[in-house]
Amino acid sequence: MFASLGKCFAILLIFAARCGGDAFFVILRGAADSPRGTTGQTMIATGFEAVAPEMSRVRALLLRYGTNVLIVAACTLVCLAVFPHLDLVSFTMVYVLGTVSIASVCSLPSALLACFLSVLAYNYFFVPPRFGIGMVEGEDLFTMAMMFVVVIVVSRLTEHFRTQARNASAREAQTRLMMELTRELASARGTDTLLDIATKQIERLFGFSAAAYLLDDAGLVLSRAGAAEDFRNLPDAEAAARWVLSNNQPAGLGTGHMRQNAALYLPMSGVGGTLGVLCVRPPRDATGFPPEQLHVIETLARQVGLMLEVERLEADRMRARMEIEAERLKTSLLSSVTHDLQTPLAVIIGSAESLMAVGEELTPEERRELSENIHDRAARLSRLLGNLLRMTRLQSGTLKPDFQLQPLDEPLGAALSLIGKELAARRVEVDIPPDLPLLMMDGVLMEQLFLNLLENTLKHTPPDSPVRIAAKRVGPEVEVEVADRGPGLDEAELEKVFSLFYQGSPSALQAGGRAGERKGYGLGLAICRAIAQVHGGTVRAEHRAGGGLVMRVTLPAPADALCLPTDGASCAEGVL
Amino acid sequence: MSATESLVLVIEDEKPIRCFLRAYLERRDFQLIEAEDGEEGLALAAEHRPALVLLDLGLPGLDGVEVIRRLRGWSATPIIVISARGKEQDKVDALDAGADDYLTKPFGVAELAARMRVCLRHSATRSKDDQQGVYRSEELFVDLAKRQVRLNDREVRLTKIEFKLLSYLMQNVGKVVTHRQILKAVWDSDRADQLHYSRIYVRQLRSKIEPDAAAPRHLLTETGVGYRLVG
Repeated sequence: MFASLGKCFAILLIFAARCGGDAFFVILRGAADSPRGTTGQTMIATGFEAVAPEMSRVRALLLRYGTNVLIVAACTLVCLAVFPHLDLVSFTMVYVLGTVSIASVCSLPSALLACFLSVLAYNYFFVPPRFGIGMVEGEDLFTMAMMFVVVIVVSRLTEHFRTQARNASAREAQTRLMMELTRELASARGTDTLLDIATKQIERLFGFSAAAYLLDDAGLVLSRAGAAEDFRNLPDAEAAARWVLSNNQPAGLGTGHMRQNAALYLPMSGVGGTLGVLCVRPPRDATGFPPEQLHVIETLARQVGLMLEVERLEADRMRARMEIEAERLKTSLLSSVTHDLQTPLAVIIGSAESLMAVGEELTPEERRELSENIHDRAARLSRLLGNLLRMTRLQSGTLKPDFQLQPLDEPLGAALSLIGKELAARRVEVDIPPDLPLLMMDGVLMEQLFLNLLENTLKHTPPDSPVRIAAKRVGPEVEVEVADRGPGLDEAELEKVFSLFYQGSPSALQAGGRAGERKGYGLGLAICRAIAQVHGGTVRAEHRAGGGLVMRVTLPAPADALCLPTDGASCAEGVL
Repeated sequence: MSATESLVLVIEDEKPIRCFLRAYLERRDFQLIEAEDGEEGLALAAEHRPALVLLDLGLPGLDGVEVIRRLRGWSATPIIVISARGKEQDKVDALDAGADDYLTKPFGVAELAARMRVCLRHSATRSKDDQQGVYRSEELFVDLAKRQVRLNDREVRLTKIEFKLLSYLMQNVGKVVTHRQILKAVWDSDRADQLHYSRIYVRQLRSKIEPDAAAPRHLLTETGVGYRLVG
């Protein structure tokens, strides 16, 4: 019995010696680590935990020491139960077990308390004189001393592991935090949103007020994001931000430059240079930032800098693309308008000059033809200019339509009579049912729409092919179609013809229409669409059964359908 | 100008333009034949051998420049090109392909007739070798054979390249020559990145042969196209 106990004790001694070495090492490292370790914990603590209320702290204290007392009491009970059968030294082992288990969970003071209680209980209950505190000597003294040593060693060890675990989880939390920030930033679009997220994150995580200066075309500007108001009134804030911008180094609180400033200023840099300055202001009386916090904020600033750069590059790219697009449109407008201005002008100038120079020598037929050509081209020019003007005003929104309830015959008839001379060679079929409802229309615009449709037909169909104009009511709408038997359009072109300055495909240009009329100015149909849209309707191109093209205009009919008087007393008569 | 009427082929798709061209030019000693597109124009040119061709560049079907190329395959007939403003590259292409002159729409008929006469005169003198090699204006006298250049009776010294440039311009007196044509003739190069050579040497040449280089009277700039030595 005694031998086995001695063996146990020897093992304990060896263990104690090993732990002692470790303990020495631990203590050394602890000393070296402690400033960072403890501040790290402080940082996380201030960062993440609300300060616990006083009451719950007292309760936690009671709970912890109460547990100690209970465990020591339990050990004593076990020893009392087996007292008659075992040797004294065995009881020390029970107490060692109890205190070590406490030391592995609790802090050193509570472990020492447990140890002290154990020694007290052991002495009181088991060491003769029993039930009284007597002098301890020899083997017992040694046992008790060893108990203390073991408890200290185990406690230091567990403390060390606990610190490491805490640090690891703090680091993990930091990494997770950065990931979360990055993810949130990455999904954000727009400079303001980015800065808003960044400043809000800093406020939420650390309780610091944050704002950002941004470098844009107007210079360094305080962004509206975050606590901009705090910084607007902060002395030297802008000066510090400017310094940071030009030196690309942090400044302000806790740095090498302007350390008297109440806030910290960090550069937000991309690859191409500093794009802004992130300002962070801790609560009052702070003299600096713990390194871990600083690290997070610096990383955040770098991250935001890169995102800002991406944002800026994206904006530049968009601007460049828009400029190219505008340039392309301008060129297309220029070339189409120049052609359509120059060709009729060439006819007018050439014909007029011929008439002036050799007029007397010409035959009457020749003179007449020249004059007619001049008139014809001048009229076309005038229509082109009218279209251009109208398109500009429709697009800029300066054209306010004057809607009036009127029969379709009116604008359609006016358009037909305007273009009548050019239509004369063709069979024109007009089919408008007498019971068609009156429509809310701007007469001038609607006339332009039909004029453009008819001109388009004239332009792209053989000179003798028939044109059919028909209207009918379809549900809540009225459909007007202008149909021809010309070459029609490719499937892909049915929609394209309505885009501004679309000139038609080369094959269509060669196949279609009267010679010399093949190039449209790409305005007419675009205006048709704009006018239809102003009226809440649509215009689209379709294949015509049996060959040709149908331009279908759809206009909404008024809810309470007002019909033309059917007795023939048409109010459109005057116009037609 | 010969007493016989010059036969002019007009290739133009716009009927009203053909109409006034015929009305005017026929009263100015030209005889006109008309074509609506390039194919027809080439066929008429082969059949009638006109003394001059008026060609609109914006033709349906066969491209105007292509018409020039095909025509130049077998004929030296002078070609005057008519094109819209803002299409300088088209003009350059047409001139490079072998057109002699160009007019921009809208153009005056009197000016056209004048250009046509210049073209016809050059094509007439081009065949006579003895007329070549001498340029004479109010202030400027050039004799290529003697390598002599005089401005207001004062000897002017030209560098080798300037002389080469001037002789090329004189071979094409009255005609528009493009930068590319100059580059090819003077430097025997066809590199687009050397097109500014002609500009630099024309400036040098002007400083020597023009009384006032800022307002040239002999060597004119055809903006965006090339140069013309006034004939």
